[in-house]
Amino acid sequence: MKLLAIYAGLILAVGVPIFFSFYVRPPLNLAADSFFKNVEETINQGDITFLSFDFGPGTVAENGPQAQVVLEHLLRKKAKVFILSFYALSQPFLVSISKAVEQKLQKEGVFVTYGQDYVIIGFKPSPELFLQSVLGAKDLIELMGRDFRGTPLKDFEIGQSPFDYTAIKAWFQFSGLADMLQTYIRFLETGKKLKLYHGCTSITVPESYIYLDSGQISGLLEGLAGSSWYESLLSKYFPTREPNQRLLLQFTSLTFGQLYIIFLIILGNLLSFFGRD
Amino acid sequence: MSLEVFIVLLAGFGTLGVYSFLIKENSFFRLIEHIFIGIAAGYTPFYVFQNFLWPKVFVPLLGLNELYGVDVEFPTFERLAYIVAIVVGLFFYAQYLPKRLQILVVIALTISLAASAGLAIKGIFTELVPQLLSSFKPILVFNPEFDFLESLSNIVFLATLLLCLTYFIFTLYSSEAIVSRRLLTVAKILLLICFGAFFGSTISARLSLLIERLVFLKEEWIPALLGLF
Amino acid sequence: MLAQYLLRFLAFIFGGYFVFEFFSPQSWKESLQLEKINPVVLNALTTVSAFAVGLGVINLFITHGKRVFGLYRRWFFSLVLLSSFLITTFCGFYSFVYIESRNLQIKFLEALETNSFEVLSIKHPSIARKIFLACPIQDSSCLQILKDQLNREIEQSKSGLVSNIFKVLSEGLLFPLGAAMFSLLAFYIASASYRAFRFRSLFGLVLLASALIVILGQNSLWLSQFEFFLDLRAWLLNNVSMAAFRAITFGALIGGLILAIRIWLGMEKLK
Repeated sequence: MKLLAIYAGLILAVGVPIFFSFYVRPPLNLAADSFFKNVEETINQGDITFLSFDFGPGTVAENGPQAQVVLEHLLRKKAKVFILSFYALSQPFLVSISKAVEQKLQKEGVFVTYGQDYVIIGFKPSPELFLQSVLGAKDLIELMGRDFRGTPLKDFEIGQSPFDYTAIKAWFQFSGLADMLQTYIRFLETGKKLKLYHGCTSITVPESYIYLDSGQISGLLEGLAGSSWYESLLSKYFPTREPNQRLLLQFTSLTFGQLYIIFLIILGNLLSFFGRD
Repeated sequence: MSLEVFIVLLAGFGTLGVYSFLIKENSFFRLIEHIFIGIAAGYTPFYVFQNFLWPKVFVPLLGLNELYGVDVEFPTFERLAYIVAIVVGLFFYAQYLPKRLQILVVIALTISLAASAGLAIKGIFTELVPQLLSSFKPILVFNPEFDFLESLSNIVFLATLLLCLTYFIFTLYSSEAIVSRRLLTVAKILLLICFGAFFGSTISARLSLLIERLVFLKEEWIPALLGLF
Repeated sequence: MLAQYLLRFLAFIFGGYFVFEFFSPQSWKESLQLEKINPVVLNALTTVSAFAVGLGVINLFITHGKRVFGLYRRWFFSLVLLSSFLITTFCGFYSFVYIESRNLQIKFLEALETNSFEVLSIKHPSIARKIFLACPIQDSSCLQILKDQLNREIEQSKSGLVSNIFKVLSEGLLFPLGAAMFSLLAFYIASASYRAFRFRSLFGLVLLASALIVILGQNSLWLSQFEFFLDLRAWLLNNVSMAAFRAITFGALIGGLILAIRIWLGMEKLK
């Protein structure tokens, strides 16, 4: 009975903001702030960027919004974006997130075209194999071959000019999978040869800081808090854009959920202290 | 009812079925659980075949490279390598054969593990060396004037790193010496700060998953359900 | 004894290839064309590992098949599991084979623009037979009609019954149920916070304090009153937590390196 009350309390704590749709402003997140400014200052029109959506249904709650805000930022800056994944269960998100961003931008009159501004390469098995080949390949268009539908990349405008890894301005990787970030760091020799930006789930935030400090990743988005602050920066830099209400709603719920957990910890300890478990 | 609406309704009912476990373990949850495992188990081999085995192995093996417009540098070597790989891969199934053929399983395991070990040796160097280099931080920081906070942070960093490293050298400390015990205690506290940070982060991560499902139920499932009436 | 030597030899060769490839100078790599051979070797080794997936499938059938055929307790759920596995696999492979066979015919037709039918039919006889049956004369209009028909069949199959079933299974069940299963952990965290998290000692207090700083340092409502928690959290993560985790990482990486070397040199018994 007590457990059910705890569960019900949790659903109430996170559910009330969702069902009554009220929002809190996300606080400053230093890592996301630095990430945004790096992208804003270093990525320009026509720059080649890669986005890896290495997340599945287990971590889409945190990685999905990260991928969405960064993709939106890159498309607004008219960078050339190649979207791929090394995780089989991420395939539907490659299309759904890209389509959602494209539709959002089109509503504001920012037109992006598939095949010209961005292309979805799809799922590539064996990241070690592909990432090792990236550094050695003279033409990455040939290495990637086709998009997720099987259309040769050379048929698209984005695939007209061959390029190697030195042309990649930045690689953005979103994942909560164990060892996935380390695979990129090892095989892409990030920090030395390529700039890697990482969007992680909250669980791996302390772990990711060691790579941020060593320069092996150039930017870090910390779960939902990072993407919420990134979202608010996007609204600040592009004032005419409509904010992502769903993301802000999720962050508000998270705020209340965290306070509820702290309340439970304190309550549990007080009751234990006074001899009532 | 369109397919998309049906999918949303099914997803919502499935989600609620999973949450029914919180009240009590029940047959509906068990049913959902088994369906989920069955689908997940069926999805993986199909995707491995579709996205890796077919384009990377069987297409070159069957000589379909030309149709796919792929130039192959060493066609004979490639075909031979893939035939050997398939044969060695099939060795894994020798565990269902008589005992004297079990050595084939060990051969397949040896090759897989040795290759992973070789890749790991390569990978560890590229991961470890930058970490080592960035650990050398100056104790006294001048920007250009003496920066007390930065210097203190670096000292704390170095002390934490060294203490935590030595904590795992079990032969270094003597459990009887007071100095050893105190250093161990400090190292333990520093490690616990790290684990506490992990725990705090984990809470946010788990809550995010629940929130995402609740947002789905509110914004997609309930409207789809109401749309039926 | 001979088997042991064989295993050590295989481990040394297959592990040593990557070590050699990593440590060898660029001139050696160019003369041995390692950069061209490497993708083939990696593909082949990944293929070996890919075949291990089938072991899990076989085990699944053995375990749940026994329950179904032996009519053990809850055999119905095992039947449901095996049925959903078979349906998913069938739908996935059926769609794939259907689309891929038509894709190959389309590619054959495209290759006819630069190659003769006779030359291609020697290399790809089964595909050539299907084309020949549809267009015995192989004039350009017939081939174009065939190509359009194949493209239409591919488009129709994407919204056909089998594809729709696969879509329902993956988007309606697999992904949402996966997310829901993971989200159950939030409830367990809540119950653990109430029941198990006790600060009875200094160590418990330190753990809790650190967790609270990390949580509250990104909580809007708390930060609106206590802004310094933001900097405190950043300092904690950038200094103490990072240093401690780096120490753990060093230990793990060095341990991993030692184990990898032992496996490579055949010092680890795998039997």
